[in-house]
Amino acid sequence: MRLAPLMIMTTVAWLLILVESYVFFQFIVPFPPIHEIGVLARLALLKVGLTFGLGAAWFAIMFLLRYFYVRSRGVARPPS
Amino acid sequence: MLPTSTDLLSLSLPFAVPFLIVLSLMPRYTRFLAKRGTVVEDVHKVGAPKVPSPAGPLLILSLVVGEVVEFALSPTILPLVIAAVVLVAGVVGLVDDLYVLGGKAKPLLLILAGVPVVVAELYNPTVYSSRLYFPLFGPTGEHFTIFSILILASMPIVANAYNMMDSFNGEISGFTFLTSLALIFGIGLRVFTSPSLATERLAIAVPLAAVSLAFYIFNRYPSKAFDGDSGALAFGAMYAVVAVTGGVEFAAIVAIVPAILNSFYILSSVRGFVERRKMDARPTYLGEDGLLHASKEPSAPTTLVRMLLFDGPLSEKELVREILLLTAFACVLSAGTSFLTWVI
Repeated sequence: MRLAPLMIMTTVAWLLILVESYVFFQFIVPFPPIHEIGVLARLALLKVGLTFGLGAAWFAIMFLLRYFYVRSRGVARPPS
Repeated sequence: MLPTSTDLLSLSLPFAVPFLIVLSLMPRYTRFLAKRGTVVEDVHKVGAPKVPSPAGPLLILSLVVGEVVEFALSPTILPLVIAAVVLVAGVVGLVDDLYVLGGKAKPLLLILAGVPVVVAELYNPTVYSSRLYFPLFGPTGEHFTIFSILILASMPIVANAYNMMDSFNGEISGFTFLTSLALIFGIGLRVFTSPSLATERLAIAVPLAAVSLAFYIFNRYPSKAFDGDSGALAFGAMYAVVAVTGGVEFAAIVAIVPAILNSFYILSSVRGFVERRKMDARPTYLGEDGLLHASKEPSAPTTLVRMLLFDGPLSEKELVREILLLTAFACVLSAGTSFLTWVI
């Protein structure tokens, strides 16, 4: 069934959204508010960075899945 | 909370009126386009028959009329905001249909489609809630500035994702209909589990399902009408704004995951915003057997369709069926997300 790998990719995308929501709420939201200054400023920057990191991780994993899918078909590679 | 008879009226009229407009006017409109010579080649068929395009203006008109009907039933600002978004995105698409906008100009202009939503919220803070509702974990805090920037950014992203799903007969109409059902399900769950929310949040989504379903009759294989960029961008922008006003952003994102993956895979393949007419190689080609094959060119973009065709050629009809099956699967996941958000 040719749809199965793409369904798996869609499911992974969905699961990542749920898991990253959990990470966001459990670990990132409790960080101090981003407008606080002083000793906590570094933590606030980390909060913004981690949030962007979650988004970047989502795309990185999806691109990785595509890479493996394309490679498994043995096509679309530049001639060596 | 069960829907009342007023709720049912508020849901059925915004469905029936735009549906009947497309059904009754589309044949006449496509004859008008054909008579004027406003046709494009259907390049995925042997002989490349000419098909009237763009049907977008009639689709935009029907969506706007649907919202006006909803406004007549419950005169609030919401249907007017949706109509404004559809009009702005539709006009950008129409300009692209007529004059071909650049790969970067189109996304930038589509940001304008989000402006009516943010402006309306500034004057009437009931248009949307500046918080994201996560499945299982509930809402975030209120963040008007960040949320408004996200709304403006979402317009080009979602509208272009829809536009990139507009390559084959019945693809965009079927895709829009399925995803609008997922949207309606999510908003419906929210509205009927939160007594404080009015049914109009749900009713404003209904014209999208009505217009896409009626258009599917003309757009399915073999197509008698193409929507053009005007139709696809209007569909995408309306989907985005209805998701925001309905507060079901997460479920909406899940339903269009195939389109999001498709567009990001294309963007990464061609390394940036490139107008599709200027791409070096096409992702697919029509073989002498009349079937669609995956391009073997290394520079061809890795679209969802090309990935599907890696396993062997398909007829256009079979290919669109596979894409719509994948979309239906994503819509089931979206329904699960809505359930986790509003019921559990």
